[in-house]
Amino acid sequence: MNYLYYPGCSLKGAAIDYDESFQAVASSLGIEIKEMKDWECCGATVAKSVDEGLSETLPLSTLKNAEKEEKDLLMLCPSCYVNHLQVSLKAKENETFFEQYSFNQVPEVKQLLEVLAFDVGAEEIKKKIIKPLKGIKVLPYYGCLTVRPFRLGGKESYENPKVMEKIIEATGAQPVFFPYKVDCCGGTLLLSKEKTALKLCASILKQAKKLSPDCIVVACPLCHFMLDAKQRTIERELKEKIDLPVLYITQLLGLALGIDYKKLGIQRLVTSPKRFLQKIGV
Amino acid sequence: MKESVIKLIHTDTIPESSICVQCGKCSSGCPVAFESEHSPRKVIRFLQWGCLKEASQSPFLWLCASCQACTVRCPRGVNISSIMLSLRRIAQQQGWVMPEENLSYYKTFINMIKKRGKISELRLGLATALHKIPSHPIEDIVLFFKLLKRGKLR
Repeated sequence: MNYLYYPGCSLKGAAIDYDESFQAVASSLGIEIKEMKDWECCGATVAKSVDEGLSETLPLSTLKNAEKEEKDLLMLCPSCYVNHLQVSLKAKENETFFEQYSFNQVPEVKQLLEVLAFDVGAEEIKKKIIKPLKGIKVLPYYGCLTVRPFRLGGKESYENPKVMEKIIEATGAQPVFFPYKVDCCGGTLLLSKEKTALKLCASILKQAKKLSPDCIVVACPLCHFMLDAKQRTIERELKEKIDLPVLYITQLLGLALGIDYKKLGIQRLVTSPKRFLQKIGV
Repeated sequence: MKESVIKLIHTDTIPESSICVQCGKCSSGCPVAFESEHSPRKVIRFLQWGCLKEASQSPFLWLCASCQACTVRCPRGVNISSIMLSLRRIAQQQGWVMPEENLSYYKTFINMIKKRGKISELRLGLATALHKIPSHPIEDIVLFFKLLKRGKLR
């Protein structure tokens, strides 16, 4: 398991805790990574909305870079993942495109959940757990792009994926069945259609609250920003207390692997995880 | 229709709209359809009628969150999300964007990529707030300082 790690804009900004916790967890799980230094933004949904050419050239430069390194590309942000995967598939399927950019071998593009669930595997993770999170109820939230339009790991269901639940079980915690787990959090609309974005996120937090989990777990920087950082605003909109800590899947894993919470960036969460941490004895 | 526009349509997924059977599955599962007078089904219907301009001016276009739910659920395999993106591009190229749409976020984002190759969320957020007052300014200011303190803005 050796990957070229593409962080992307969010992972070096508001999702710095995702980056930190991933790097801490990767070495414990035997995931070898080489971090890309000269990377460019993937264009998110914006480049695709404005300039088709740009939405292809941005991921292309990263793909060419990975080809040189002869490694699979690993992305944590699902938006970066979808954009790169789309262009890599085009290069594989379209001969003219393949030759135009003189590829020899198009690198594989993978997302974190895929690597954790299928390359490492829940069984392997379970063997390395030092501090099982017994009695903790964890609510998994996938969002959109981890499961659509490409099936997670090429095989998961679009509507009822289960890999996060398996990872949660491996940590010793109890996954909660969340019927809204693949609904959209509205994150991509936050800066263009704020009111709509907040409504979408509010409905997710409201439904999550009803199941009274100890924490929510996500694998996307944008979902995290909406559910964690925007939680106060949403409480205002709903006129209801939510007070649910939102962790990255790597932070939850890290705690169960016995890694210090500061190395996992947990002190950076906006919605206080204090009660949750007390419950697991950190 | 202008020749340049016809060329545009043929290079992407828009022709797929012709196989749509108007079952409405896309719209019943769409998380943002409730916000707009048009649903994704209606936008596709405009295309079937050859009304490219009406489709490109639909208020639904800029509400689409690209969540891909419609695309994976369509029983005919129409790539609806991709059609919405194509229509956004056509609307801008042809100058069909409705005056009430504020696309400053898109412009700032693209300029930032072209200039620096990366996005600074701090700059992007601030620039967007200048063009459009946030709906919860006080909470946003509090959040700004919280994020700053936590080293999440750089």
